[in-house]
Amino acid sequence: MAVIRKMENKLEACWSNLPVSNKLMMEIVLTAAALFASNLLIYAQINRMVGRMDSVYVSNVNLGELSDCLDAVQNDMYRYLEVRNSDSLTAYYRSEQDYRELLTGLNERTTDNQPQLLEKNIRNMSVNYLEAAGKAVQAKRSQNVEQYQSAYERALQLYRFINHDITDLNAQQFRNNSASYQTLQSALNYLEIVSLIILVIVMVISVSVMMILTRNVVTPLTNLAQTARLVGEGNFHVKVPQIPSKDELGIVTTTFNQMVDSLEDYVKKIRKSAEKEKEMQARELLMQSNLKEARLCYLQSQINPHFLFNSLNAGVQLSAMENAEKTSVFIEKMAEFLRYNVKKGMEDATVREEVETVENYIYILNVRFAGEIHYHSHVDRQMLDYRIPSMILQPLVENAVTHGLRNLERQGEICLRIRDAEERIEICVEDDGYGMSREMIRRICSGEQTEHKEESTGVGLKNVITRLRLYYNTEDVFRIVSEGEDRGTKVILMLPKKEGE
Amino acid sequence: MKQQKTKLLRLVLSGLFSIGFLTLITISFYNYVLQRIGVDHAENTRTYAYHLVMLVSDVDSLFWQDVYDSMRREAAERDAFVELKGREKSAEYAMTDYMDMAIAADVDGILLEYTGEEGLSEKVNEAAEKGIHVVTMLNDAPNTARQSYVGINSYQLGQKYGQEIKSLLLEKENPQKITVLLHHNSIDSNQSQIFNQINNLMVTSEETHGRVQVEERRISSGSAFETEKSIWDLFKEGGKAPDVIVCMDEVDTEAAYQAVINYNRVGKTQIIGYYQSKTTLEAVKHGTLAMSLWVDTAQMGIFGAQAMMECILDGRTNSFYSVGLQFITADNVGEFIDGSHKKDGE
Repeated sequence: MAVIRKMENKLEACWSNLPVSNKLMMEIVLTAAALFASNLLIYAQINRMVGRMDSVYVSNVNLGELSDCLDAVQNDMYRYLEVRNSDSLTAYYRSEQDYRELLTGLNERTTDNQPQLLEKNIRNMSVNYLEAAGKAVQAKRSQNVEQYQSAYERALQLYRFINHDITDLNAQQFRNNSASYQTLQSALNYLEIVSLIILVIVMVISVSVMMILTRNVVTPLTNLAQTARLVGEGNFHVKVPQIPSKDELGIVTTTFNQMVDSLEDYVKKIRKSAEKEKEMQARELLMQSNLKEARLCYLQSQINPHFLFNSLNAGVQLSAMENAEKTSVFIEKMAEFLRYNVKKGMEDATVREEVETVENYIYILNVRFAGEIHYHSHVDRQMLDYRIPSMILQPLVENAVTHGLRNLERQGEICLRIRDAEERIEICVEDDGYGMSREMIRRICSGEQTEHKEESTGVGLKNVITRLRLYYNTEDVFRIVSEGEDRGTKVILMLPKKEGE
Repeated sequence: MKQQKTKLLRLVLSGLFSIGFLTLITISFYNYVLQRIGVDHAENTRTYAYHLVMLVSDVDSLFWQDVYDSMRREAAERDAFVELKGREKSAEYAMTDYMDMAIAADVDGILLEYTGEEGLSEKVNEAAEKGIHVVTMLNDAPNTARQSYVGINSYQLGQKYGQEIKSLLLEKENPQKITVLLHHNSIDSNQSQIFNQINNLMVTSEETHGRVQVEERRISSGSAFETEKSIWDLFKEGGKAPDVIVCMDEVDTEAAYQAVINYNRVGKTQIIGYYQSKTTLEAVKHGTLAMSLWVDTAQMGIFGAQAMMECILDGRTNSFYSVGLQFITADNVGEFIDGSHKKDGE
């Protein structure tokens, strides 16, 4: 059983690995072979039957020949006895010889088959007949009239007996043969019907087998076509049912499924990148609008910056001529501060530039408010050349001055710290002023606080926070730390490092 | 897929099976046909060592058919085949011709119903000269070279007939006429001896002496319809119609029976019939036929084959085999109708 199963599996594997053309070829060859074999079988049977039919009456024909030959012997003997010439003697001997030869074909055994028994009787009587005939001829040659007459009579009697038996046998054989012929004929009819049935069965089975085998080939193709249509319509979740064979169909099906899989991956990837691009575009737009907003604020406060700068330069020169050195420095710092604001409206700046702007701003404030603000900075010099968005530090310091130190009864202090924090630059603007409540910090960080003081340079804390978040595409750049009322505020920026150009 | 494979396998297997089945049927049918038409029949034919011929006067008679069947069976066991020959309805040959044929055919033995025909004794002697053994049956030819005789002891049978006739005659008035129908020509034939015994008994017996007349009527076997003519003559003749008719032949029995009915002699003329044709048995059963002689044909066949094979193999045998006989009467006819008598006989 195990051997059969093993063989079956082997055969199946062999079949499934065959190319489709070979499979179809084999199907056609097998069908043709089956039809050919059944035809051959039927042909052989019918041929045998027809051959047998042809030979049915052979025994009658043979018996007729025997009878004719016996007549010839009798006639030749009679003629010789009558005329006694050598021609008739020769003829007698010839026919006697022929008759003897024919006799050898007759049965000589005793059987219970009537025709065979008759053959035996005919054979034995014929021997006696030929003996009597020979005697008669011999007596005639020796002119013994009495002897040849009695021998002739004996021969004539036997001749009649033999003829009687031959007629009897002929009739029996004819009866048997006619029955045989009829039986054979009906057998032939039966054979025709059976042959027809066999042919029909072979045909039906061949066609069915061929249909089933061909369906095995065609069904995967139909499935493939349907699935391909669905895939063409954009449905990537369909699969062609897997077929186990390793022929062309198996390969096409497997490859098609793989192709659909990778197509789906590609489409996903493209969709994702499109989404990303869209997102980036949106952010860019937002940033630009924020910058625009910042710049607009400056431009609103700067009617004609060039005119203002030239005027301030003229003020510097005038104060230098009047030896008012402090005024000259003040106006110069003022001009630098304003120029920076105008110039860096839309560009990145270095940490150095930002720090300088803060120092200018503090100087201006201290001139305005008679040195109320104590400012000191601890800057890691290696950080000075990294690039950061412009107009970041000054608003922070301004915010510290405005909200932390303004109207403070004691002397306030502002401290700027810039140091290296591995991947980032840590910038800390610290004041020791009023401090902030947690609620306030939350509102500022979430962008809800939008108060705008008139004295501001124009860029608010919200703007700074939004721009930083957009610029670095992360929320984690800005935090405010305050330990409570009158305990000061710390604004800490953690900016990713970006090398200067 | 698996289902489809099973379906395919089933389809192919059922197809192969039906084709195989049909082929097998066709082949066996073909063989059967061949056997029936006898073309390939040779192997079913048995070959025997000896060829015997049984020559009888009437091959169609039930009596001889029964003898032949029994003899053929017995002979087959002894490796011999018996061929039945003899006069048929369209007979053109005499018994002597059949003897000639058998001699010319070089058979091993001839079982002959000796009819006393002219020249038949010479033919028996001729056959013996050529080394062909001859056994006579039913009717003996003691003066020929025949080897043995299988049949009835005619003296004994004549006595039996006499007894039966006496029992039929007892109630009858005087004078009585008994007619015995004889066939065989020769004077010393069994039938003549039987007649003589009946006659002797009737003459010598006190009860019948003087009042019973026994006459013989010979029916020549030469021409057709002779039997019927002879029997009708019995009734037509001016004299007294017979009171008892004794038949030695099946045909005589039926013809006499028919004549009795036709001449309205039922109950007046008693018939002692021969053997057990269907008509005879029916007539005995209904009482229209007084009785019928039954010869044990099976025993006759067996004895015939036995005697012949002993002659062939040992060169000698008993000169006489006596065959059992019995009268079928209204008392025992039932056994013969249903065939149960054979069990007793065999």
